[in-house]
Amino acid sequence: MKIPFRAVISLILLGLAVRQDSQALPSFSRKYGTSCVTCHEAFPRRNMVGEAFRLNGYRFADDEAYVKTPPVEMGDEAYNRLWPNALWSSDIPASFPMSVIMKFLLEADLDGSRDAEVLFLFPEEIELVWAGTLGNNFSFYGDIIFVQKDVDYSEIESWAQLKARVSIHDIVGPENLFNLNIGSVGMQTLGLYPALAENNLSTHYYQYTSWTMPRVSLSESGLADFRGNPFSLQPQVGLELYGFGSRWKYAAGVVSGDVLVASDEVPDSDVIFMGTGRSRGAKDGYASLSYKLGGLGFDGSGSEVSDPLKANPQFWRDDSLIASLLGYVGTAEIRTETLDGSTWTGDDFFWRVGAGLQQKYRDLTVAAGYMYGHNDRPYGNLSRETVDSHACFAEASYFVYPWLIPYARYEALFLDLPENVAGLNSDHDTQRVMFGVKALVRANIALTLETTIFTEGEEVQEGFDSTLMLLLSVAL
Amino acid sequence: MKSVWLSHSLAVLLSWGTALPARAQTGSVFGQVRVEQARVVTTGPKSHKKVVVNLEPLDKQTHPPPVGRLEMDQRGLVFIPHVLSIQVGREIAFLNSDHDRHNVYFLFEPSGKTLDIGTWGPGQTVTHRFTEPGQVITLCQLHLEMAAYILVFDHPFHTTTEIQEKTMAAAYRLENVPPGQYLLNAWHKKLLLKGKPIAVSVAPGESVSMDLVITKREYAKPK
Repeated sequence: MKIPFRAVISLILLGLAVRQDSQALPSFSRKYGTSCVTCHEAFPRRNMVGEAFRLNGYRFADDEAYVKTPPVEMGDEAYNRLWPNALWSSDIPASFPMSVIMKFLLEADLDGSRDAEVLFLFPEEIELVWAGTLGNNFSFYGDIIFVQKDVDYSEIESWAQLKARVSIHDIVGPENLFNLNIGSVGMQTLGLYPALAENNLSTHYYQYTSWTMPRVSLSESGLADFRGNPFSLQPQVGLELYGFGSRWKYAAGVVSGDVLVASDEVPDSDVIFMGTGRSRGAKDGYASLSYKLGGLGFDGSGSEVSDPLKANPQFWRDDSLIASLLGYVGTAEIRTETLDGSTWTGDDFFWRVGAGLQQKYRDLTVAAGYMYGHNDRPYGNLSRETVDSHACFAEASYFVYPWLIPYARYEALFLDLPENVAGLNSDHDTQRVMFGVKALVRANIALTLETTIFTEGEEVQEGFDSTLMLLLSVAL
Repeated sequence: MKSVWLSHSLAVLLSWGTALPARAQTGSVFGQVRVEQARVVTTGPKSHKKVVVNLEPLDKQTHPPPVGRLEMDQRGLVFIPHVLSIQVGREIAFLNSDHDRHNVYFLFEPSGKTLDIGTWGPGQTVTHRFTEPGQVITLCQLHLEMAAYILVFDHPFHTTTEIQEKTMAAAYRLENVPPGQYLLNAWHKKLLLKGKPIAVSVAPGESVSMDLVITKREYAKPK
């Protein structure tokens, strides 16, 4: 039975949000005849070669020299010289560039807080992903993710969600400066670069990207319905401009905002387009900026290490410091409905601003970040109080072997929630520590073992504390 | 049968007798074309392995017009060969060995002029004589992925060679070059000669060794 999503209030695991984007794409391994580790240090986390490849629109520098399965030409490049009297040349992948990622999750309750001690989500996700290039100036990405999640640790829900994007590269000006994404945007940019969901080692997303404003309990508030602000840092539908150089990259986007389904909600439809917003005139906006010292350039240009013998010899190494900034501003419609049928609607204007750092040195990666948020009126006519939020994280990972990467992460979320709203627990503050180890059983098969211990707010995410997660990921 | 053999042997001996002085009066230029700061695709029907090396005479020379026809086939939706170097005045027969119609459409560079010599069916051939030097991009307007390159020179001192996958280099040799001053140049579909064409002096009976480098446009300009 599918639960109407409005009935599910603050029960789904915060942080166990639906995965947003698959970034381990074996179709590129087939195209280039190369291993996953060319682009990934531990999939889906990309190394800097992979990041340059992605930014360049799924192309390497000197790309055609690496291609083992050449694309099918839609016209020879010579036709470009005849334009406008001929079609501009293009190409399509020689075989359909489809990748499949399967994820199998076992959850084991260590402290007896769940009804079921052991839960099989086999599979937890099946992802069908297609991505590639269309000639020199276009690329595309799309995915269908079939999801199976445990809701409130008792109900298993499943649905499918879709994303699709077309990118136009070098639309004007100097090389790499202005590129345009159309469709599902923000996959790589709605977050701080040191802690992007798509580069996550963990089985859980970063809390600073996935938390949403706590909802009001209908039964305790006496309301017939309440629609709060569904915002979290997740991909949305819109337009995004981005550019990059050797040491910097930026992105700025306009998105629908006010998404129909929050990242921690179960949709009331079996199939959804991720990040689709309500039809309205207002749009949300965001911008991000990253700067890198040392290591390989964002554009794949060479390391500043003058002696090649001192350069990093391993695929995961990239001695560097990356600083990242993100800002988001938007509005969401708040709606309350009382049992007698009267309704109230109004806008909650909100913004987020954050900064993060990532330092990589040989086999060690450490990262930390902070995001501040402000909501003008997230509870509509239930409270006129503003809500400030503080989310932070710090994490470290270490390559013991090329295939074994233990990691630890601390995350905290502090919300200044109003105390006078019926049906709202004003204390949603949480602090948690995550310990895990990721093992690359093969270059395209990963096993992740992880547990999370709450030091504050265990009851907010009841059942999450002291739960062992074992995730098997297979990409083909 | 015996008389045929005798006459053939006599012809060979006579040709030796006349060729020896001529060879002594000419020289040759040989060497390698190396690919630097790039890799080229050396497989597939439209690979980038072909390099055309040419020796442009700086002295005024008259060259006898080329004799005979060369062929360029359209087979399996591919022009074969993909790169061809010819002398002005040469005729090329464009064959259609497919079971589909083909067209031949020229884009002359650097002038930018175009010429459509027609569309014809399976098994048919159309001949065209090239009268102007330059690069002729040869296209089929019915199959947009088809393209070939014809390099037309106003002298006979050119050769087409192939880049080897392992070495990223192509060996070339130009024989029977009259003594004189020349500019040695290389043409490649994607890459450019690094620096300027090289001045070469050819003396009678001598072989001149000269290597060339081709690279990406950004590295090709002389510093």
